[in-house]
Amino acid sequence: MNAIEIRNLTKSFEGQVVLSNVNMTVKQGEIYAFLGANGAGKSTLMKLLFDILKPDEGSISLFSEQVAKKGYNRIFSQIGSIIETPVHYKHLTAIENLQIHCDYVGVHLRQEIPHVLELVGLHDVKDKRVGEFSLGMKQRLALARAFIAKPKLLVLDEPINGLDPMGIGDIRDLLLTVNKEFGTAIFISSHIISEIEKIADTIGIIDQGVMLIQKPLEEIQKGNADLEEYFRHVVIGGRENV
Amino acid sequence: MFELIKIDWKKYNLKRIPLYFILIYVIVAGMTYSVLNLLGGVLIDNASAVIDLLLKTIFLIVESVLITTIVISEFKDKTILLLYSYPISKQKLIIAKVLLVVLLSLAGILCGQVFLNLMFFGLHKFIPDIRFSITPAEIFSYGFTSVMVVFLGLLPMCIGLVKYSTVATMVTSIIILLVGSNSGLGMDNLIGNSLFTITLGIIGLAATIYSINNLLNRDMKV
Repeated sequence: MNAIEIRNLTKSFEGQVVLSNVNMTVKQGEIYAFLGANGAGKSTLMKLLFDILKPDEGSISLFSEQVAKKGYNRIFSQIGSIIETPVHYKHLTAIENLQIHCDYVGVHLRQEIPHVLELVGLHDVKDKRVGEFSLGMKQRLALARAFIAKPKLLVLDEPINGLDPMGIGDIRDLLLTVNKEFGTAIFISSHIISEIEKIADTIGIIDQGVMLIQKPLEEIQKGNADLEEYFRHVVIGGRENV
Repeated sequence: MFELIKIDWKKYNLKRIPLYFILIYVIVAGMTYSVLNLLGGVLIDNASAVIDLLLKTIFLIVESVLITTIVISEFKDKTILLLYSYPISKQKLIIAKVLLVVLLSLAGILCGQVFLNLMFFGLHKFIPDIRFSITPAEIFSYGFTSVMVVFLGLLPMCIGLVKYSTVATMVTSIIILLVGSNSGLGMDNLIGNSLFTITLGIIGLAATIYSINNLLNRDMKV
């Protein structure tokens, strides 16, 4: 069973195509890095996964369950996410934000709150209002929220944006731990390619709404190619072919 | 649904709302007494009519504040992205919010009608300056039109949801208030007119249903 299966997905805004006939498979337990320049269509695709945007054509399945275009998607209980930016209730403290999250997804998870706060290094500021948090702290809190239910899939849109080098290292270790210990599939987008190279199993490159390539990182590295170099090569090559 | 309402209640720390409502009732009581003193026998001659007008106008504004806090802010602050990632029906999430706004506004306005009318009924027995009278038909009319005013008060939400704007919500509410109160305190104000409130109440309710349906069927551009 695949964690994510996307078939012939097309999406346009006011006549402008932002995703064109995208096919993609994220296998259970793998870390899939989704690379692309700004405006390539990464966040749009992630929003389509959660029915925040409606596809023009094509289908999306999460763990073999088709994402319903309306109403209730039970499978979302198995998915932790950060979509676009780390959003929180600014008037609430870190711990209150997590408590509200648990109220929505399962009150029994409240006992995990101290543990995840410790894990993302926010235990000392748990009673501080999120409105006073830096971007990096908000990212950490969003990750804590995404992890808390030990989901089968993490969908993370630029999760290391705004983090300092120490923070990036911590989050990298955390993602690897979650992936190894719980077999959580991770679908991650980031511009920090050097970090992606350290954790990804599979690389998907999208440009101007077109999926250019999906390959195991190992295969890319076999040719002694540096991922950043490879990314530039694929994107430029893709544009020249258009 | 009740669970979702409870979460929103907690999320927006609404436990202090009854205190705010009591404060509003005290202000309305003071204003009613002043209006009767200033305009008694000229434009208006009955405490219950003043209470009705003041409660309806003030709660139109209160309702729009609740709408911006409980509904619009989720879109403006993009926290709706988070809510939509939960394994809960999107329709239920939105309806729970609207229900909370309606229930709070209804509770506020109806409790105000009961409390203040009883208060002035008692006061007029001891203070002859206070003129108070109410018939069973008026009790029904005040109650029914209050419910309709709460539905009318949902119209600003429909406008605010177009661009997820708190300003548009508040401005629409103020426009409705100005048109409805007719800038007058006599009995000829529109908000005291049953036909006006019932018509616009129904329009408010229909617009809300349309607006929620539209929200669920279109792209969420936050």
